[in-house]
Amino acid sequence: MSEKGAEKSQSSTNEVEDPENSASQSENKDEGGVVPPHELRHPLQHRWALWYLKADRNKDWEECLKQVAVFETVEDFWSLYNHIQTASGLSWGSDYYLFKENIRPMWEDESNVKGGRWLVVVDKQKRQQLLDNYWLELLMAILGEQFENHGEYICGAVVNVRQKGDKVSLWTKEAEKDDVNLRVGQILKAKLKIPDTDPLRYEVHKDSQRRTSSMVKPRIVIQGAQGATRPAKEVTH
Amino acid sequence: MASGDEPAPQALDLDMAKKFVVKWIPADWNEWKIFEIFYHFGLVNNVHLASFNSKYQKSQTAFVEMLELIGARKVRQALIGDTFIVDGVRLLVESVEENDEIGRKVQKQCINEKRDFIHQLMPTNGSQRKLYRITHGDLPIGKEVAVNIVETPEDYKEIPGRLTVFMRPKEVDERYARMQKEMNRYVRSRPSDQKMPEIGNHVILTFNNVAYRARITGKQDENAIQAYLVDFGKMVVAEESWTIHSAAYHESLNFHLPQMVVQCEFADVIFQEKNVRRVRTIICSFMSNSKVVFMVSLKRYSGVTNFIQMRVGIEHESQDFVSALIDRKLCTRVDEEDHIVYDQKTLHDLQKCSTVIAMGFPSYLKPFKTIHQKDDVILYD
Repeated sequence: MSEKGAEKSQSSTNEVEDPENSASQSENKDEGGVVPPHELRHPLQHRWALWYLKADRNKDWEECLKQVAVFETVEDFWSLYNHIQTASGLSWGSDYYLFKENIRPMWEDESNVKGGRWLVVVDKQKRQQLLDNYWLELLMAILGEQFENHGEYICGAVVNVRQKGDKVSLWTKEAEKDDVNLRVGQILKAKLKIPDTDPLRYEVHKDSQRRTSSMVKPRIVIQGAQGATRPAKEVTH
Repeated sequence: MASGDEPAPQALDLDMAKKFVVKWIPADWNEWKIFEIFYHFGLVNNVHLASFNSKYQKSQTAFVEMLELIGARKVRQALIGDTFIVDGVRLLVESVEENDEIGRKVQKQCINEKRDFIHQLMPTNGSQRKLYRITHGDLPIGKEVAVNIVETPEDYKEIPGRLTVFMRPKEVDERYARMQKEMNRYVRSRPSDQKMPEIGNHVILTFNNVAYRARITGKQDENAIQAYLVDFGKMVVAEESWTIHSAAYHESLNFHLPQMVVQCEFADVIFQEKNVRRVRTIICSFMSNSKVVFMVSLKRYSGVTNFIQMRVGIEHESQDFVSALIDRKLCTRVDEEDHIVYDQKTLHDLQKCSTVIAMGFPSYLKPFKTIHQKDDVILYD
């Protein structure tokens, strides 16, 4: 399972060439100071890519999507995170995506097409307290391989910044693996400290494409002891 | 569709010149099929199957509007008399004139009827159809399969110290057999694309008179392209190609199936860079022996890469490939349990560590001004 210690290339392996994406993670110091070589940084289990989408009605969705960076160490992640806007600082209609390298952040990608997502809808009233915290906790959970032995089923994480309500979601590879997805959802709820009053839904991507999000029937719901019942599989704590 | 304003007479003529009534359409054809056919002449603004078509009729009528006059002209040029043949079917194609009863009837329906699904699924304003990217192939879980090792694509960027091998399962499932049949029919029933494809595009091309799916890796010259056959793992040069679109029609012909060639690495093993070439030589020598059989089983997926175990068999004997390499000191096994895990506290502690501070503002972020932190905007805006 491990590639620890394996030398990994520092060069970008983006499939789609984009002049804006000079996603090299090598010595990028703009301030003074000696930067330890790549080998002395804390490696991650996987290489990850951060994408950013800025909504533009004059462009196709895919044209609005840009890959910002690819990284494979903890330090490179923080170097990136520390210098970009938090989720709450993005303009309405923007998204961040953090996906394993070579998995495009769209449901049509072969790693996503049979999968689904755990969806966390952020209460508009609690946006200031919750959004950035949820997003960072989710990033740390996936980068830190906190999903027990189900890490291979994790594809990536998404935050959608929307006036009508922000959303944070965790995408997994196989929608039909209920046991895996349920365990992933339970860990997600614990990591983000989502209260029992906020149900957590697992939606299959293909179902979501056919309907608006409010009409999608979730495959799994995790909720507290209180709260409305849901169709499909239901788990109460 | 006409707007509410009264158009100038000249504009109306030009508008009408882009519109056609298409008759004798087989009953089992849908709007996508018609769209595909006319797309070959130019950008299509709208296709509408008339609702007065009855399910009891043997043929249907549709209203097709090209986006540009040049496309409409090409439609007329393709007509022999007032018909052309596509996929073995003769279609009657008439211009929409003001005094054409069917044309007015269908046009009125376009205005009145809700066609939400067209707007959802078809490109808006007749913009170019989205190109389709064939997804990468995967090996099945929990099953050992026989494979051929195939050529590495020319556009693949090797990662130093990692050995990537491209493989193709020997067994072909029936969906791919159908796809092959449909591709062969497709290329024989319509002209190839007029414009050369771009690097990275996925197309159908012909090689030795057989149709194949391929990814464009380069341009040989003005007339020829270099491409990687994604279902066979071979680099070829071709002159004609047919772009694969995201349209439902292409999906229905199985053109959207994942590619058969699978990108693989050996699981739980690391190579020193100096040994990678030697191991490749060993693999090549096996490939040249027709009696050698490669059997692989999937250990895990990581993005597009399938991490595998492989046995190499000759006649009745087989051996684990990696074990043989380890015996020859050509690679090192990695502990399977050695999974890199960080808890939240450890990650948080590193957020402001000296290394991260020394790294400073990443230069690759400069173009992404919209997402710069406020204190970085002053420096780099």
